[in-house]
Amino acid sequence: MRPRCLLAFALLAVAAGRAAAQTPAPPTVQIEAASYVDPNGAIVPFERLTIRGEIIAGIGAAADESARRDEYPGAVVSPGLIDCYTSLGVRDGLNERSDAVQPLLDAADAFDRYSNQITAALRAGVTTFALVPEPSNLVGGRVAVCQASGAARRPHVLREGPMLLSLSPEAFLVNREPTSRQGGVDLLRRTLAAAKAGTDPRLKQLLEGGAPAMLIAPAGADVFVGSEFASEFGFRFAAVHTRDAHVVGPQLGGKLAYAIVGPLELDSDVRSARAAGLFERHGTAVAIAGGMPAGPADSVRIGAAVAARHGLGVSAARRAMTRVPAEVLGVGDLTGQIKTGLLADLVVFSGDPLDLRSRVLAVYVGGRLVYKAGGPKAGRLP
Amino acid sequence: MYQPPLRAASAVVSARYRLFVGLLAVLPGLAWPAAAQLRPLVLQNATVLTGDGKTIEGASIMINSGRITAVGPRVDAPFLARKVDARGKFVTPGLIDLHTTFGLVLDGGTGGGLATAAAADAFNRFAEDDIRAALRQGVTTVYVPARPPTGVGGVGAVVRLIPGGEPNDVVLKREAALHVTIDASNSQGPLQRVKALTELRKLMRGAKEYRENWEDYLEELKEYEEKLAKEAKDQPSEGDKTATNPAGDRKPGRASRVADGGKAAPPPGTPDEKKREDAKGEKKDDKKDEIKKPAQPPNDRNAATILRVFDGELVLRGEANTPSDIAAVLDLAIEYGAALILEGGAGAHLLADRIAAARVPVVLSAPPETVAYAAGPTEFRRADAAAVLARAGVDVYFGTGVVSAGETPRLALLAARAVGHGLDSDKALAAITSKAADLLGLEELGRIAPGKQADLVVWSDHPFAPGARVERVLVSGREVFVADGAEGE
Repeated sequence: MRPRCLLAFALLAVAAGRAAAQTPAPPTVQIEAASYVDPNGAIVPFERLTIRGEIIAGIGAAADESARRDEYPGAVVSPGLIDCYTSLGVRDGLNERSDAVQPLLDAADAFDRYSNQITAALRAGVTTFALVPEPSNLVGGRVAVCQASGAARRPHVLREGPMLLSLSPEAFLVNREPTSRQGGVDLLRRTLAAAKAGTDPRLKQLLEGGAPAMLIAPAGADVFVGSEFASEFGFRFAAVHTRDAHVVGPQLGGKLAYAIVGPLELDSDVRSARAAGLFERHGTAVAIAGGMPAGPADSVRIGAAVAARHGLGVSAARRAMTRVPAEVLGVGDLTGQIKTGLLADLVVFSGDPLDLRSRVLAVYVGGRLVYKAGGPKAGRLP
Repeated sequence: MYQPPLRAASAVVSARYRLFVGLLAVLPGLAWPAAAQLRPLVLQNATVLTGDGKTIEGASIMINSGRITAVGPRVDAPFLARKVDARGKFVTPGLIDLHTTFGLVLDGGTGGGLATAAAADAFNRFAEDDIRAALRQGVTTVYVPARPPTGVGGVGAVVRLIPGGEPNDVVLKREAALHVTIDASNSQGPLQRVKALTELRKLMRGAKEYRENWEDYLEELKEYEEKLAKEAKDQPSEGDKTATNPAGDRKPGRASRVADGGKAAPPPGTPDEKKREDAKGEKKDDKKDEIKKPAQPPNDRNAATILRVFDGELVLRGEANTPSDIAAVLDLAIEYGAALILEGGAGAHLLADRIAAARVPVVLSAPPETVAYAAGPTEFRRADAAAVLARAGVDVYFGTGVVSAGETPRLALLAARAVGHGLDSDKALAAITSKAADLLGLEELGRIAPGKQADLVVWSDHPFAPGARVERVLVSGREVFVADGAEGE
């Protein structure tokens, strides 16, 4: 008797050991829908999309019987929407004005992961968002790129984003330098020169060719100054600019790689509404800023819909909500497109995401279903 | 005197010939753009959304003298008609924005209690760029309110968007509704809503008293005149009674008029004074029969305007953006028996059943909600408000609300967004076309049907579809906007 028990025990132990030694296979999920938004922003019919773990494993692949199947008949699968200019979930503001040059400031330090603002954004289809410091400093620190959901269903910082530069009049203050635009441009030039010469290590990252810098440039003149600096010191930048697009677009054209336009509201003036189309027509890739939480949770879609009624092409408008903001934030290798190998950050819409009549049916972040409209726990995260 | 010579027969013939040649010369003129507007117009082969739920594919619309004369798959175009091929396009009625400050010169709004202020006077029909921008979004008619910060405001107007139009053309209805705002959110004190409502009730009561005063006055005036007439008839017998009356042939009626009328007292010692004394004496004697002309109450146009609401001539538009303010407006309307339209409407979804039972229409004109939590004005805004209200049986409409100078009312996108948050698409389109026209009491607008006014918009796609663009806008059959390629069209 006892030797048999011992044998049974031993076999069990070995089996348990083996099971523990093997890593469990990542879950496979297949989303079945009618079409998806491809990397060019076009809506292309397909049958299903396969997710393995966190990653998009296949588009239009054959059905996998062992996979969990999420069916959305007639729906359109889009990359998760990305709002590249927000202060979502920020506690007490992002306005540190003690010094005009603060490259080490990190917006992530003001991030409140428990804020319910992020849930609202998630339900509107925003899976990635950027915390951008206020325009009060010439060099405002790092933008924080956040995922709206992650481990323990909590939002988290995905990656350190671009360096924020600002030529806004808000950066010219009375109680510290620079006090004028002249002084501001000069200080910025000296700072960039120091970085290039290697004498200021804090700005090394700016010129190392990571994410493009984000330059807040309210006036057309600010964009031109930024463009000169970019060629002189060798860095790429995205101009946060709407107002003078009719001048900047034609004159700079492809020299300006990226423009962040918005936020656009349902009653924005015509000049602002036309900016996106103007930039795109002259060779600058456009991202639409949502500006949350100052506007509604569907600000990004509203902005894209308004721009599309004023000259921005529909495919470019869809890219402006997804792929281009990902590139601007330096996470284009991780998310923003429906492409094998990228994170499965996806939103299932009842129709074209650019159509304001479409509803959000489900949201996946990193392959995990985090929101389903009208589900058993309707509206709440599972 | 010069006599013109008799015309010879040959001269008559040559006159006719000249007339004929003249006509021939004029005919090509009918092709000129200005004159072209006078010709009948046919829009051909479009997908027509009639505004009241019907879609007609491959239809043509015939327009003559500012009206739609025919709609259908086959429309006979008269000889001189201009034809516009609208194949692949959508045609809708001109959109109607039911509450917008678009085009208004805003300078702090009308003060409380000025019920006579008219929004029509503040509409800037010269803001042609702005008007063109609105036409480019398909909006052809707007209701502009006279919004007070709180309390009673002025009268709102219905205005057509015609760039460079004449005032009579542009203002369709000068006094469409009276405005009332219940808004305690910008208050400086805890009892602000109570104060606001008290003020309103005071004004309403004041209007009722004003009417009672006038009715009493008119009654008294009638009695007074009857008495005068009676005394005039009885005059001969009364003359004998008065012994002290020196002017025997004078009518006592006239004497008492002298005593009580507004004439200046004659100086003492004159013969008139004697008359006056006699008349006074007469007064003492005839105190019982004294005929006093009633004093006319002052005219109060504010009260008169409010009374038109009670009489059902003028609609009351109540703006409220929290559930308690909405409840207060509903109570007020019931109390005074006013026909009410609720505006703003943030928080109305929480009172949906009550509003439905009261059969009060709601014009949702509050701005969209914000993600940031805020108390006060933004607290009750909801993107699905229209859907919730419609499901409860409330008639829901849309207005773009506060639109500043330079901004553009994108009514179609506002309605499309409501569809995305649960409102039925046909209801949404009707709410900005046919039903909107009905709410304003302008049934000749808002529909594509024979006999209706030719306010039409030609779109590149369904008005709610992404990237849809307006290509042509007609108001009363006149082309007021044609896409000019300014946006890469």
